[in-house]
This record gives sequence, C-alpha cells and structure tokens, in this order.
Amino acid sequence: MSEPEAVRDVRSDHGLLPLQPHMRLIWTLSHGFAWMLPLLAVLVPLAVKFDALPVPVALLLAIVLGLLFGRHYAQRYAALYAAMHLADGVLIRRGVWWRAEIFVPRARIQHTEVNQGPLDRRWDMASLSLHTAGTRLEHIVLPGLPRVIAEQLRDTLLDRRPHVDGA
Amino acid sequence: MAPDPRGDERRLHPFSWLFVLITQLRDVALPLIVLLLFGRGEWWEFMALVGAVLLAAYSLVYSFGFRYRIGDGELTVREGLFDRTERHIPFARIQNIARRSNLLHRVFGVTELRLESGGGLKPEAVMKVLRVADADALVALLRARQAASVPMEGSGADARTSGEVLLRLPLVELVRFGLISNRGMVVVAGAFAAFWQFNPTQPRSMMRVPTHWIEQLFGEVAAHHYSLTTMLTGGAFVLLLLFAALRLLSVLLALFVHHDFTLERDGDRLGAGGGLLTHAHGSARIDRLQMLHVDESLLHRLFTRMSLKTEVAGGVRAVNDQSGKLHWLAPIASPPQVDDLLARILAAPSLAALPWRPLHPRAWRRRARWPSVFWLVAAAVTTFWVGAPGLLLLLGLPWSVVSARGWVGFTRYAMDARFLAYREGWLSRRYALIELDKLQAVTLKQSPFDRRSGMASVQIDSMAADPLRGGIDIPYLPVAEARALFAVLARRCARPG
Repeated sequence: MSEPEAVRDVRSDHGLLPLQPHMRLIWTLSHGFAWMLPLLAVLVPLAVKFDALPVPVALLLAIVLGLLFGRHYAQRYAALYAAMHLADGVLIRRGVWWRAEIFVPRARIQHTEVNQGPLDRRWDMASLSLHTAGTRLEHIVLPGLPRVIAEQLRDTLLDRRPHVDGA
Repeated sequence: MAPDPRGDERRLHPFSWLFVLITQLRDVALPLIVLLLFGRGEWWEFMALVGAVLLAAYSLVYSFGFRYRIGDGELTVREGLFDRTERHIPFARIQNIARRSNLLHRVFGVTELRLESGGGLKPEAVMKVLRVADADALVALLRARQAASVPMEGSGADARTSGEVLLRLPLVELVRFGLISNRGMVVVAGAFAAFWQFNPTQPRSMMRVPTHWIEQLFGEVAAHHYSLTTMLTGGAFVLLLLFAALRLLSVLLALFVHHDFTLERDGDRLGAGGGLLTHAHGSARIDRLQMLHVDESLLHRLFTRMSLKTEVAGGVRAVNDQSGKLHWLAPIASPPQVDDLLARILAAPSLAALPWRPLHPRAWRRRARWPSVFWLVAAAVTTFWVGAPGLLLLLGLPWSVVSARGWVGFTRYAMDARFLAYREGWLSRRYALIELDKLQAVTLKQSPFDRRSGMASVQIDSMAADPLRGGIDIPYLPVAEARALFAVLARRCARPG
C-alpha cells in the first residue's frame, strides 16, 4: 500500500541510488543540533529560575536529549529517504512529517555538479546538485552518494545522446 | 523608413550621455545626498563633487564609445571604457525586446532599447538611448532578420503582417482598472512609511503635523459634546471621504501607468505597453511565455472584469514591468475578452471549457479546521477577559465553514492534452494556466494531516515564476488521484516538447 502504483509506473529498471551509511551520522548531528537549541532555550532558563537542577546538568541534559531526538529523527529520515535514477529523470522521496516526492525530468536538468565537504572526502562520498531552469526547485541536492556513483551520475544525467537516453 | 543601419557601425543618440549619467546618478544619489546633507566638513562634499564629475565624464566617454552594427545573422555591440568588449548577439538569441521612454526621453525624441536573451539576469544589450526612428528601424530589422534566420513553425508569412492589435484599453476601462486595483493604498502606505523614516535626527518630528491635526479635530469633537450618532455618522463620512480619495488616486495612477495600453501580436511575438509620461513597452516571443495568471477579485467580479498577466522566461527577477518587461497582457478585460486572448495567443480553450475536476469531497473540513480553532481560542480568551461579549467571536465558526465550503466549491484543477490549469478562491478568485511543455519539475506532497485524511497535494515548478504569487499547487486531492496526476505530469514533462 505504501508503494504507490503511479510512481512505480514512472520508475524504470534503473532503481534506487545507494545512500552511504555515514550520512546517518551527519543527519544525526545536524538534526541533533537543531533539537539542542530549543531544548537549551527551555531547560537552562528553567534550571536558573527554579533551582531544580544545576545549570551544567541542564546543559548536559539538553545536549544528550538533542542528540537522542536527532538520532531518532535521522533514522526515520534515512528510512523514508529514497533517490531513484530513472530512465527519464530523477525521483527523490524525502521528509518525515512533511513528505515530498520530487520528480526532476532529465530533459530539464540544466547542469549538474558534484560537491564534497571535508567529511565527504574522508568517507569517499559526495553530494550531487541538480540545477533546473525552474524557480522553487532550481537547485536540488542528492546527498550521501558514493563518490564514483555521483560522478557517473553527473555525466550521465547531462549526456543526451540517443543511445544513452534509450530514446 | 529610417536609414538602413545595415553594414556600417552606428552610434547612440548624441545626448545619450545625459541618460547614462542620470541612471548612474540614481544609483549613487542617495549616498551622495546623505553625504552632502549630513557630512561633517568640506572633505566629504569635495569627494562627492569629484565623484559626480567623474561619473559625468564616464557617461560621456561611455556613450560616445558605444557602437553597434547589424551584420549577417548577428548584432555586434562594442562598449566599455577601459576594457572594451565586443559582443556578438545572434538574432535568434534575442528573445525579448523591451522599450522604455519617460518624459525626458520624449522631450529629446529618443527611447531606450533593451535586448534580452533567454537566460541570465542581465540583458544582452542595453541601448541607452536611440532616436525613436532609429529604434523603430532597428526593431523592424531585427524582426525581419529573425524571421529569416529562424524558420518559425508556420509563422514565416505572419512575421511581416505587423501589429495585429489584440487589446486596446479605452479610458473607461482604465478608470475601472484604477477603481479595482487600489494602488493608491500602496502609494499612501509607502509614503507614510517614508515619512516616518525620514529625518534621522528627529524621527517623529514629521509626524507632529498630522498628529496635531488629529488632536485638534478630536479636541473640537470633544468640546462640542456631540451625540454618539453624530459622531458615528461624522466618522463614517470621514472614512468614506478617505476611501474616495484613495480610489481617485488609484484611478490617476492607473492612467499614468497604463494610458493607451495596447497588446499587439506581430507574427510569433507579443508586445504590450502603455503609459502617460513613462512609456514602457515589452515584447517577447510567444513560446517564451510561461505561466499565465488570471485574477478576479471581488471588485473585478462586481465590474465583471478580470486581469491577465504572464511570466516570461529570461531576465526575470532583476527587472519589473516598469522597465519594459512583458508582464501585463490585459490589466483589465471582460471574461469573454480574456478567453479570446487565451485563444488567440495560445490557442487555449476558454476558461469555462477546461475539464475542471474537484478536490477531495471532505476538503472543506480541512480548509475550515484551522480558522475554526482560531475563532474558538479567540472566543475563549476574549470571554475570559471581557465576559459574555467575547462569545460574539463564535460567529467566526459558521463564517469559517461557509468560506471553506465556498472555496472548495470553486477550487478545481484541469488538465487536457496541452494545458494544466488551476483555479482557487471564493469571493476573490484566481486562475493559473501553463502549457505542459513548460513544466520544470513536479512534486507530490503530504503533510501529517494529509496522511490522516487520505489526501495529498501536487505542485509544479516553472521558469520565471514570481515567488510572491501562488503558482500551481493543487491541495486536498484524494491520494490515488494525486498520485495519478503526479505520474502523468512527470511523464509529460520528461518528454521535451
């Protein structure tokens, strides 16, 4: 039931793009920090006001809770995340609460770009940016790809020769 | 016809430097004025003066150095002061031609010409300024060459039949447009904000005058001990007067901006423009048009009118319609006129004839939910503070339901072989229409609320979409239908048109 008929229709044999396992760690950290800030903003003033627990303990609690929430969220995010390279474009499924499936037709991709941060380089992974001439979805990022696959994809997505197209 | 500029290099109008200077000055005017007014000591004033002189010299040399030449299949532009650049612009690349002339331009009998290509934020060439006859000749030549070098689908013969007028707005329509648009309000709000911001040393001194008037007025009123009804009638009268003044201002603005507005089709190009003092004219190839927007506010409906706007690919966000971008196709037109324009420009079916499909049958509940929660909370809080009268806010509940039902009753989407259309609203309505070939990406979205009620929304992305306007984002669809639509749109936009 969760696998939509319509999308399977759009999809071809190309299938799922792999997600590097290290991406979960990066998502855990980024979502963890995002959770930490509101927790700090609530717990520390409460600790100061009511003297219920010492401030360092409140700080530690916020950090630990933030990381726990972040880890939970990152696991959900990774479980629901999927990027597919189809015959005629790229389909990205992402989001935990607000979910979106984005289809970027290959014919509309203006240019592609492979980006590597310091952590990416360490783990030999990369993110692939797709640029379209659109407005809202002018720049779409596929994170956590193995570097080799990202580079292959960068070239194939732009190669419009008929034999590659299958057209 | 004006002298044929073919072959030889041509210069701009001898007074071009003046217009370049004015543009340059406009960019630095504010800092200059601030320096002159608030700068302590002569040093700053001296620097400002030096800057102004340098700018003037720059404008002079720049505009005398500007050359253009019409060659075979391309326009060559040479410009620049220290780094001379020579640009070759193939005729086929010039997508949009925009013209602009303000009062000063008219005094000198010149106009500004902007040639834009499909992509990029900067125009390919800005000719500031040309004699009107030269500009006409250049535009005619460009069109003729374009038609010759790019064989258009079935429009080769059309390209010479210049200017089929699709719409011309008479004065009465402009007055209606002014009454509907209420731009006066925006101007007054802007003026008020500027008023407030002015004079950094004494921020509110400017406000003392109107405040003083109001105090005086209220003093008078209080001194006379008028009855409540008199005061209410007086207040209503004053409000009515203000309202009338704002509408009058809007009408005047409409006359200034859109005087003699004309929409013309010239082969495969569309041109539109008007204006009393500043005459802005934009043109674009019809296949560059992206999403079309039809607005029908409550006031529009009162006058049985609509407005039709377009988004054009290329040179998007950096310029607005005042600089001569094709934006308005019809500031105001009757519904049959809008249908006629859609048919003549895009060969689109009339708005009513599109195969409209409704949203999920329970969409109105979703639409009414949050406003209802708001009214309940507002009523609870107000009742807590002021007692029983707070319960009046509960009237918001039926209002939310009625407006939600009305909204869902009108909101629809439609897709045929060539177009995707969406309409939404209740009292005020809008339509958006795009050719399927112009879709850039498709998104299927589900919020937690969507998932609970078995709904989803489908959103499309297009070129040059105005971020401040709603595009096509079809909400509250049954999941299966949304998925089917998503799949069809995905397949359709994957196939280059």
